[in-house]
Amino acid sequence: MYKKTIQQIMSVLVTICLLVGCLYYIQQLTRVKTALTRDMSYSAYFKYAKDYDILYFGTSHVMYGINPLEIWNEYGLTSYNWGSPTCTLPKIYWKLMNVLDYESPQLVVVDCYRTTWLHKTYNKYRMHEAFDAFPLSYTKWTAIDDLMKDEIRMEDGLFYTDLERYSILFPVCDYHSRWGELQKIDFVNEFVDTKGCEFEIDVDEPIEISNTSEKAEITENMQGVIYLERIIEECQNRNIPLLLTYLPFPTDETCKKESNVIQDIADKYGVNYVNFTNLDVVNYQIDYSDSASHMNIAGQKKVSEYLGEYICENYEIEDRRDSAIADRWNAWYKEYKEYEAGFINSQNDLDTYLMLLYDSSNDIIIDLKENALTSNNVYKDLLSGVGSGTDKINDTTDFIIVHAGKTIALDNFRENGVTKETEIGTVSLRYGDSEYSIYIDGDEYYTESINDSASIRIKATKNDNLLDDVRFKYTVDPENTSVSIVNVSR
Amino acid sequence: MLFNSIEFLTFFPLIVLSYFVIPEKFKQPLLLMASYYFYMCWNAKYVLLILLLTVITYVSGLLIGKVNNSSYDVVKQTALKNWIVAGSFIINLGILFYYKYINFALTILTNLFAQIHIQLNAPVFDIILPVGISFYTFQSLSYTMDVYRNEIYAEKNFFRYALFVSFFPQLLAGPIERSKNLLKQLAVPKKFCFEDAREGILLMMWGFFLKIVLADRIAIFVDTVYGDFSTYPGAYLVVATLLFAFQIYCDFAGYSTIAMGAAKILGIKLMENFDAPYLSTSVSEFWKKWHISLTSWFKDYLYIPLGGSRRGSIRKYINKMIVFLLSGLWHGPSFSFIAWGGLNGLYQIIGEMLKPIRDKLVSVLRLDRESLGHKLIHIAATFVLVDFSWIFFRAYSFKEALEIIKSMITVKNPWVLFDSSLYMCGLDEKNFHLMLLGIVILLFADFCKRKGIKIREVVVRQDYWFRWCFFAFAISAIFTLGVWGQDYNEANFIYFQF
Repeated sequence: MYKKTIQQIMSVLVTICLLVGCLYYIQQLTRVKTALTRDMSYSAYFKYAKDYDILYFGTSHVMYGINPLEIWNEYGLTSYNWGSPTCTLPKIYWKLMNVLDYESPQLVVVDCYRTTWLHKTYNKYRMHEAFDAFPLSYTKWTAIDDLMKDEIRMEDGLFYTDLERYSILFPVCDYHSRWGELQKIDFVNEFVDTKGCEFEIDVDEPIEISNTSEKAEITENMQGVIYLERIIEECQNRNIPLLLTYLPFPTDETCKKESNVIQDIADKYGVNYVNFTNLDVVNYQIDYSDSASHMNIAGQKKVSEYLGEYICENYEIEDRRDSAIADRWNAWYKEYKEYEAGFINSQNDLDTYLMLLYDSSNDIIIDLKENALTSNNVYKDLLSGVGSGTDKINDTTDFIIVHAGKTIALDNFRENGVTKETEIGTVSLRYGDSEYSIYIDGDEYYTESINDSASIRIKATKNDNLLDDVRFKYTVDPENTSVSIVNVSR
Repeated sequence: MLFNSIEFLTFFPLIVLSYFVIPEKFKQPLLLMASYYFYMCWNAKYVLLILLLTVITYVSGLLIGKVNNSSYDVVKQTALKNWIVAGSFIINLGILFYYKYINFALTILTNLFAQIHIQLNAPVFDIILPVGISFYTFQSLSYTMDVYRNEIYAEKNFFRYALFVSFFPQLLAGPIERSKNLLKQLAVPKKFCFEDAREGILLMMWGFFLKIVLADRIAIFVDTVYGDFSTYPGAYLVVATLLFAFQIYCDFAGYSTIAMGAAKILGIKLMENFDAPYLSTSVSEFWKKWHISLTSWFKDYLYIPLGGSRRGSIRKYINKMIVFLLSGLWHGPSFSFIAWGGLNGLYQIIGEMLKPIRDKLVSVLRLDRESLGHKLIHIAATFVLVDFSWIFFRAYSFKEALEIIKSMITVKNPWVLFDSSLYMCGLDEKNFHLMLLGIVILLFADFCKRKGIKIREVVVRQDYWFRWCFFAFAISAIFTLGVWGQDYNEANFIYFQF
């Protein structure tokens, strides 16, 4: 009888194990793997968790604003971007606590946008974005329990059901219905590891930018403030240096006041704080993809470089370019640059296209056949930002060349035989029967047909491999200088 | 709490574990507390209502028992018992009438008086229908009648009787159990039996498949079409009506099967409520296989007391019509439900009237009633008749039902069956095909049942490795393919409105 009972118990246990295994596989299969769910991004973290000396936390401002691989390339610092959309300070606190189960970083950077928010969370879907990739653990369980029992949210009539809570811990509860939508990405990992950051590829002008020096009022029920102080205290208890930031974006008055009051909190705890809204790091006309919030990839590079330099000057973080992990970081950087290069040749908006030419490691030539483009201030700034940038763009500029890491602008450069000594060498232009060519130090660099009707031609190469060769035809309204694209051809 | 909810999936294992761990004398109180807690999760104050009905029928049972054991003569005994039964029925049905039918009755009265130009300012009562009231009222009344008929002794243990009325697996939507079956089992709690638990789990799995994979998926299509039949006329409505037959079957049978499975795990056998009804060859047979507990209740406690078929054909037809009209009314306070019930009664009456003609035709044409073709025709015809009546059941009103029928007849758009239009009615192509596959599986299972093959017994007879894999994969499939969770609003079981 006992033997039969033991057999029955074993039978039940094996069945339960098989069932759990099946459900775990289904969960892995059906989890949403597109970029915005952050699942794939974050999942890549765990394999090399001990690599990361610096961790960035914050909202989508951080997610789109800080590029760990550019920081690696410039400064040899290893870091990971834990930014996610609408990530409130309570969520940041719990993400940090979960991450600290896996490593002890040399520096934690926390962006303080949304510090003056009342609620702990925004909605269930943002919870998925923030926590799906974390394996089930006691810390995760505690996090979900704390975040989804939000008294202030409940006072406002917003409740999370038990099923919604469980679905954050066991995402299969929400994703199982994806069985009919499975694609290759669900089975084959083709993910490009960009160390948690994402990219916006667009150019938009800001709605408003406030410069008020007033400070926001801090109230007792502001969950953001409560949890920011918990973050500071936790880091100090663990002897982890902390840097607070307020990454740049077109702030309205409320957000500007919020950015100003963070300094008081930082001073109270003796923590460094960089308020980017008071600095001149980005150009709000061309470095943003939407009018109120997110940096595009060009803005991201500027902020990343500034932040990297600030960290090197103020913290003792090891430059790991000669370490054992350098090879894989260099490989990741290379993979990222190849991925980034793909943005260019799929782009048909001229302003976005020009924004994407910020990389001075590429060879770029812009043939400005119609100079009217420079009468538009945004386009003038975009042209000025190409490559390593130049402040010499004006209405007589004919060519912009990026070569060997330097950028030059050539004015009045259409005459046959015109030559100029520049930073990149001796540049000359010569006409043939039906075409004209640009030569650098006697070598032919670029050729174009005399009869081509495009307004602008842009040719980009990398290591002698063609990235893209595109012609835009545009018109510029002389009254308001607005630019209308008529035709794009490759 | 619904069966397909996190709360129940947490509650039930805890109750099962506690039930088999605690000493025997505490088992009944535990189940009783669990049952009342289960009911209170719906609406805490209505637990007083179920308690009231329990007390009334318990006391009436005791009184009837006392009269039976008294020294009164037979005539006086019968008279007293009649008064007790009448009192019990009047109070219980009166309570049911108040909660379920008062506004409907007042509306009818108001309309009737309006016909003779009298304005009746009848009040409208804002009443929340206590969930399951129709079921536990009928269950407790059946006990009163069983005691009255000396089919069982009056239950003296109040807590056991209270558990009989409120036993949580079947409390909210049946099956409507008989005291002879359930009270007897509750009196002798069983020890844990692995085979019972395994069978119970298999039943629950099948129930969840019917409910969350099939019924809730079909509901998406049916709700889309019926909810806007001006946009989805003609063939859309035909398809939706065909599918509704399976939706209501899977929804209700799913719940009943889960109830049976849950009870089985606790060592209690509940009655079968459905027996492959859509494989019936006549409407009469259909009603012997559909909602068996309710049909048998009406037969035992209404049809037979009215005289049944013992008082000539006309009286039989009248009795049948009364039963089915009341059955329709039991389902809801609406003329469309009454029409649905009446239509099913009419089918059976006409069927019986035409039987001699049908028999003659079979004889003259030398048809073989046992041939597959003959049976298939009968099954199809029965299905069409029953499905037609479901239109009245599904529509929100009698008038809407008529509009739907008119649309089905007058709008000719058969191309929608072929041009992928059906995938635009709430279910994409994959889900639509999964739904069809599920219906095929259902019909296959019902066919096996009719042939005396119990699929769960076949599974249990296989080797251990097959059983392990079957349980794990089947539960995973139901979990994955079920309509629940995100974008799923825990669709209520259809029969919870009764």
